[in-house]
Amino acid sequence: MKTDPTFWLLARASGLTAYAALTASVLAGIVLKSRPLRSLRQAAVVDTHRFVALLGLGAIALHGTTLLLDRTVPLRPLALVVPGLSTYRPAAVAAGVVAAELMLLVYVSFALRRRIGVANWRRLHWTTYAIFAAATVHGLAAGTDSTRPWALSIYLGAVGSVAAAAAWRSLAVPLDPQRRTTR
Amino acid sequence: MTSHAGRLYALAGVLVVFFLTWALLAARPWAPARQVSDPRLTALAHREHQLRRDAVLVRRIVARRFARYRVALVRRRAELAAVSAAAPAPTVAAAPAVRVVTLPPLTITRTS
Repeated sequence: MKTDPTFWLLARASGLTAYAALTASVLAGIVLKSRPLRSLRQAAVVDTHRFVALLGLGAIALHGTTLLLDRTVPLRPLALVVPGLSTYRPAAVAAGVVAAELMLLVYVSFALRRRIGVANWRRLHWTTYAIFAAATVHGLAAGTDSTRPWALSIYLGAVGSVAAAAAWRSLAVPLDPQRRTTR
Repeated sequence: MTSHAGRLYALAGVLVVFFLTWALLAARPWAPARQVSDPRLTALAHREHQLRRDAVLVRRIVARRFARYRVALVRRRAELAAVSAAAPAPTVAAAPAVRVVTLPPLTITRTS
């Protein structure tokens, strides 16, 4: 019997879209900090950064829902929340679950910034790099397309661009003179 | 501050990425073309190829025979024309004269 591949295709496409959105959000965050272009308005970049993160969370929700609806990989709803419960490549799926939960936590922390304090919020924001790393591991180890050259080039491009932007951020002198004096 | 233009571009970009990836995964351009696995279809294709080859051969033989027949026909017509030209014209025989005779009346006799 031939099964309908729609949900399986949707799950893979939404997973890759979520990864692309996460990469874009991380890059927007780095741009926000290092400000390579003076013409970029900081408020607009912050809003875009948050909105892309929200779109990424939406893509993750679609990824999980379609994985539950599809029969290719048997997955229980609890396995989407608790890391390690999946029977299919448990470690790789766990990395994805942890990344998604941390991403949700960081996104929610935007709204709670004043309550938790800016310093704590900033510390929490540093986990974004770990989220990106976990998502990359999840995509490479659990993704069925990760061996294909086009998928590998997407992962390599994402990792390369984030690594380059992070390196540039750490090396470049910040534009804000007030921040320069506080460091 | 809400950046509507930034949000619009971000939404459009994410949607483009999503639908492009979906189309790419559905199209599977990396997969090899599907082979015909049904043996009946393979046999049918082989038979069709054989019939086409036989048809070409038959057409060639028929054309060769027809050319030979036309040559023979032309030669025969020439012979007939030569024979008819050499023979004298046949004389028309005189028609016999019609004679009217009076016959005795027909009588039928019965013995039993």
